[in-house]
Amino acid sequence: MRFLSPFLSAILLIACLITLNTKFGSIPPLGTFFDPDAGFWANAELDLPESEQLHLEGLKAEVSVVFDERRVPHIFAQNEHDLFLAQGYITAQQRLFQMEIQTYDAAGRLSEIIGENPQVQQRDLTTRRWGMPWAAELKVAEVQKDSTSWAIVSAYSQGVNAYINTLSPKNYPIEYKVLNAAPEAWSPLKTSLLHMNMLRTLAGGSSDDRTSRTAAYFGQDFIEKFFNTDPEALEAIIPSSHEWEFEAERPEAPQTEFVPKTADRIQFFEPNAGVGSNNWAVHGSKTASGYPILAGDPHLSLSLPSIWMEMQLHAPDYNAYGVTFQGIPGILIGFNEHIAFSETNTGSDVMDWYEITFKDASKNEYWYDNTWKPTTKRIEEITVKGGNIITDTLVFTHHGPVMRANTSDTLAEPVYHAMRWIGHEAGNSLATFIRLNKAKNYSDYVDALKEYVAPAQNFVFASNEGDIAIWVNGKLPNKWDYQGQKVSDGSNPDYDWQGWIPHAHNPHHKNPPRGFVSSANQESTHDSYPYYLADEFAPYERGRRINDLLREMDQITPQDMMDMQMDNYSLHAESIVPELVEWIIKDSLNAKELEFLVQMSSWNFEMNADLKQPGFFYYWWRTLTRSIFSDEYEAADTELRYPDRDRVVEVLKNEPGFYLIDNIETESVETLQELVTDAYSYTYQLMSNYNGVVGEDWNWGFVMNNDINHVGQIPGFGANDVYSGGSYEAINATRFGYGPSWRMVVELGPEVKGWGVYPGGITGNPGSPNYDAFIENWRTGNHFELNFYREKPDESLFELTLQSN
Amino acid sequence: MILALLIIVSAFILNLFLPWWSIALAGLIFGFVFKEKALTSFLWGFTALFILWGSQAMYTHLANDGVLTGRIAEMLGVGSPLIVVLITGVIGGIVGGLSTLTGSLMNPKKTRLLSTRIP
Repeated sequence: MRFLSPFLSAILLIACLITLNTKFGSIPPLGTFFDPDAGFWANAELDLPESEQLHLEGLKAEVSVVFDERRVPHIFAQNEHDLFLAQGYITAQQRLFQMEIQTYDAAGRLSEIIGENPQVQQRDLTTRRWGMPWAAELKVAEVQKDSTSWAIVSAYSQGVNAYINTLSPKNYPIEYKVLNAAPEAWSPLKTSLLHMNMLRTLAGGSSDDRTSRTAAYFGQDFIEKFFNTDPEALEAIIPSSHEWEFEAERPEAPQTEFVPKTADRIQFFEPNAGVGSNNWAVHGSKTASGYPILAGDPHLSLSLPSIWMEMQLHAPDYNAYGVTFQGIPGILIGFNEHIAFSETNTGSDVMDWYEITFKDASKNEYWYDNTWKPTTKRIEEITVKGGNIITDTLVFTHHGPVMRANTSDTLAEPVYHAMRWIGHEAGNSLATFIRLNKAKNYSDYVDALKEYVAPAQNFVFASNEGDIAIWVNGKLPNKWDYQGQKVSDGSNPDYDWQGWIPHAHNPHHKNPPRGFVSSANQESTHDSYPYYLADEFAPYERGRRINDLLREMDQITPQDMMDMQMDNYSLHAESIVPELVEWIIKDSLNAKELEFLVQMSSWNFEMNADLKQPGFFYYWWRTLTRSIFSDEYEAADTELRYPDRDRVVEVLKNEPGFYLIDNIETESVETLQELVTDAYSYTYQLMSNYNGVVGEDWNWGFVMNNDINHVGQIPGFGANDVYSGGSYEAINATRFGYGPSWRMVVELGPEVKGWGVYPGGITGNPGSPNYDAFIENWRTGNHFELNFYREKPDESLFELTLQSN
Repeated sequence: MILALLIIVSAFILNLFLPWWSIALAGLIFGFVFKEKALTSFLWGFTALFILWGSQAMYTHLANDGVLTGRIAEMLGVGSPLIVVLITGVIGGIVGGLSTLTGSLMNPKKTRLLSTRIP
């Protein structure tokens, strides 16, 4: 055994230890990771956390954190400074990785923790070019000017850091172990970065380039027909009966319309199709208790840990319960002893693109208002994990940062576009939520809303005084009609945002005669509103369904509202399925297809998990619209803007001979009946291929493929195939991993009561059974009754006492 | 046998306070002290740390009702949570085997300082 020299053996051992201590690609260092003491095993929760007392630097007095039977933290502090410090501490304790990964994303720093990855690098670059970190810095400066807000974000930050300082690698959240990374100190800038992330998700959509191309390809008539015409069934958030009691001063539109050189693929993030929400409040005259009831369910991309965390914040003159957004102080959707509030997103057009002409390749000057105007520049550096540094120079016009159209390489001269975005507007929107947390009545609520900038939200409100209200709220640019619908002229001041709609003119109403207020991302107002907001809101169906139900209801109880949040009825299906069934050419169907058509024609339009028709309808409609539009759209060789389904339904019903129906690739002229029949047979084939013979596997609950993924996309840390009903157009908007990320119902009154549930848990630790503990209740619509304490309770699951010096 | 027991106990204590690779120290030291034949050293070292890491992992797996191991198994694409326990044991075992082997080979003396068998 000569070859077994001690030297060779030692080399082998060292090589083995180094290998097991090194990260290869996405594989964590195996020795470190599997170490039963400090590796991922240390994150397995073996017992409930124990009650304990901790010393917390910076506290002025003792703080108690009571965890109730679902482990919801209730923070009892003796002053607001301590309240937010403790909120920061507890949030970090439960959700540190989630907080951090979102700020890395918003800062364009993902490459720093993920390493070399072309897609991640591109995302980081685009994030920087959007001016996300730049605008976050602007916002911090704005918050700093307001001493109250600054004290809040500073205390919160201090709390997060106090928690981070207690950590050693052994008790890092498990994701850090998977990524072989370490937590970084928190700062108020990170809170602003999270705000930027919300802006990108909720107000980061734009169709300017696609609309320009669609107009160039199909002509302005097409734009008028599909984008500038509201469906008749639309009920805007503020009903048409509302009278506007003010005069609007509007900017003037330019005489001729600008035609861009190219509008091809300006660098966009894909608009987030999963974003939407419902909220409503009913007046005491319609409820069993005589007090208002408020309901809200924000729809987002579902994730684990949940985007929200339930929490109660209690201090003198402060007692709010609801959900927090990790990294932002206060409660974002919730209630206190006097009022309740919930938001849905507003689709106002707050992102516009301007074609820019530079004087020369240095990009130091651009043409504006008949003169050369100087640009400013900012250098962005991305430090990729492993040492590589990527630099990028941002060029700013007065509109905003400039990007180069991707396909302009083929043109003689590159074409540039500047972005004007509400996300870049300085402002202190976070203070609004703190003030709502403390609001006592309608006027406090309106005062809180005044300083809010963006993302614009429809804030629904109800109070113990019996008031209900909704405000379409946020800083809204005052535009001429259809300003910014297409790519704009960056050299002409007429295309600039020339001011804002005065806050008092923002669409709103209070205690309307119908006895309820509601919103579901549909248009804010009807045409009688004297300002222009946007051409692109959510289809009418969800909002209309909410109103139809509320109109008919009386003696409403909180349970009625919870049931309503689970409503799966599809107005979209109701509006077109009877016609589809009628249009089918039955002679063309085989026996099995005919048999299923009987089921389709007897469907009640409920998008229930246990039904077979919803999944079939979903694919049938998709196939049909594709066969109508895709021949023309694909011939265009560029990405065009698709009309909303509600308007397509209307056009098909009113004009069955509509010219797009014909397939331009064939010589014959197709009829709508033929397309509907072909789409039906194709869908039947598709469903059979994927789900076998008609049976349980055709159930919508399986077909919708509802995966709730981990926030860092780590496989195994999510929840797959959460069997559920729902649809885009139903109040219960659950589908394909998107949907109601929090459902809340609050009954106002002498004793305010709340119910709520989200698909997740409190802790963000995948090694705890609490991580996904609420999913089953969420799936089945069994809201939890919320423990809203007036004072610190005597009993708890466990309790954390945070002591000052 | 004693060799394995001593490695288990000392590696357990070392791992509580030092990084994971400190378990190799246990193998090196007792491999040196016992100076078994190469194969014997490797096998005892492997067995010792396979048992230590494997049983620590198994205890955690059971006490946690498999919540975390189920997720890690899915992350690694290995099918069963028990394989996650097994991998942990094997990693410990390889380090134990190699370090004990190295320890024994590094001892130049022909005679053992201690015997693996109780006299």
